[in-house]
Amino acid sequence: MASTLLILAVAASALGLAWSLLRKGPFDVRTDRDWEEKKNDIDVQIVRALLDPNEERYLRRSLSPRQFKIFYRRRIRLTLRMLRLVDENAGMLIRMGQLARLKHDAELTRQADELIATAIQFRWNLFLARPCLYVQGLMPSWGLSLAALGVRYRHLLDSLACVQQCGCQPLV
Amino acid sequence: MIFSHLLTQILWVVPLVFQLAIAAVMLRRRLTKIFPVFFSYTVLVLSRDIVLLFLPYPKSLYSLVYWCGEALAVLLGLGVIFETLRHLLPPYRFLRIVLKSVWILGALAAVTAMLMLVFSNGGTGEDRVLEAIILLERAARFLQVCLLVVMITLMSRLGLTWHQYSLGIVAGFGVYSALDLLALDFRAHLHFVSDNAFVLIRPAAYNLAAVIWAAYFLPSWSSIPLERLPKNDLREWNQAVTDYVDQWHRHY
Repeated sequence: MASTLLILAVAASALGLAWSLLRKGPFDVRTDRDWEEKKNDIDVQIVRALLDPNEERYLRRSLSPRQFKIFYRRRIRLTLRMLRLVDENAGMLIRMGQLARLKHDAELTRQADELIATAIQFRWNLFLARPCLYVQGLMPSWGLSLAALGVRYRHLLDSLACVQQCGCQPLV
Repeated sequence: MIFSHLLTQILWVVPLVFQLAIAAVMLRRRLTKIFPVFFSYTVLVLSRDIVLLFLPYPKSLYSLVYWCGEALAVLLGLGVIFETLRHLLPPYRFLRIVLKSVWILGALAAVTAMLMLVFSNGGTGEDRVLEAIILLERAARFLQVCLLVVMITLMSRLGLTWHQYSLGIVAGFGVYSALDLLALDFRAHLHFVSDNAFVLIRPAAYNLAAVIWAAYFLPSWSSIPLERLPKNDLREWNQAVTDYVDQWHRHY
């Protein structure tokens, strides 16, 4: 019975993931115009304010504990939603970087590689930040050092931009 | 009865037509050098099914060709996943190492789970050989599906270089392996699926995969290179998220 449940779970996950791949497709953007139409315009300062610990302390002082929890969770939800939209932007930029590499222009290729590296680094940081946000949302008055583990990886990822390309061309 | 027979024939012939077209397109676009294992898989399934069309059923030669072909197809199917992964890994050495480590761990977990499946199911029926074959096929499909799940999750999360052919191959195998695994399990263990339904579900799943592969291989994809990169504030966003992660590190 356990093996059957395991199989059902794995098969259902595979179907769900395959569907998500087919639904999205890789061709979100092809031109500058597509990017201008599809990008999500979000001000980074808003998210900085939402994540600011001083703001958090101020809210904690000014509101009752119950009000603080409600308000704080709302802020976390908003932050997560905004980060999801920026995550989509990063996906589109990766695609545009790949298209730019096809031009075979040395300077453009360098810029494209830099953009792709930043986008991957951003997505990796998001991967670390999301659990922190979920924990904060679940327990506004308590924290857990999940990110401590991630910082080491981040330092390693920082070297990404400096790493030499191996010269592989993406197949488009 | 006539309808069922007709449906079986259609489900058999349709993927053959698609796969013939895919093989031709791969040869014409010289994709055989980029995806040699997928090309071999396509040619193997195609030639096996064409041979089976002319063999008398049910005879031992028919069974031999079918099961040998099936075993090879499962092996090549696993090979295709590794081949696609090779194309998906980004050209950054550090990230390749990290992703390969995660991938190897995922593969080890999947192999362990597969072995557990094999050893926890002893044959109880009359036809031990057939049961063993089905069990092995189920285990191989399970491994294939696990590897696909790990791969799609990793690549989708980090948004790494999906291109249309790899995406089509992975999505097609994902759908086929998952549906096949479900059909095998529903029939062998849960007894939800009758033999008549089973012989239709498996080819139907394969048809779906062939349609997905054809949709990605047959159209001519031509990408226009970008002249310049768009203005973006990704660097600031990355800094904002990095600061947040650092803030956690300092704080806790």
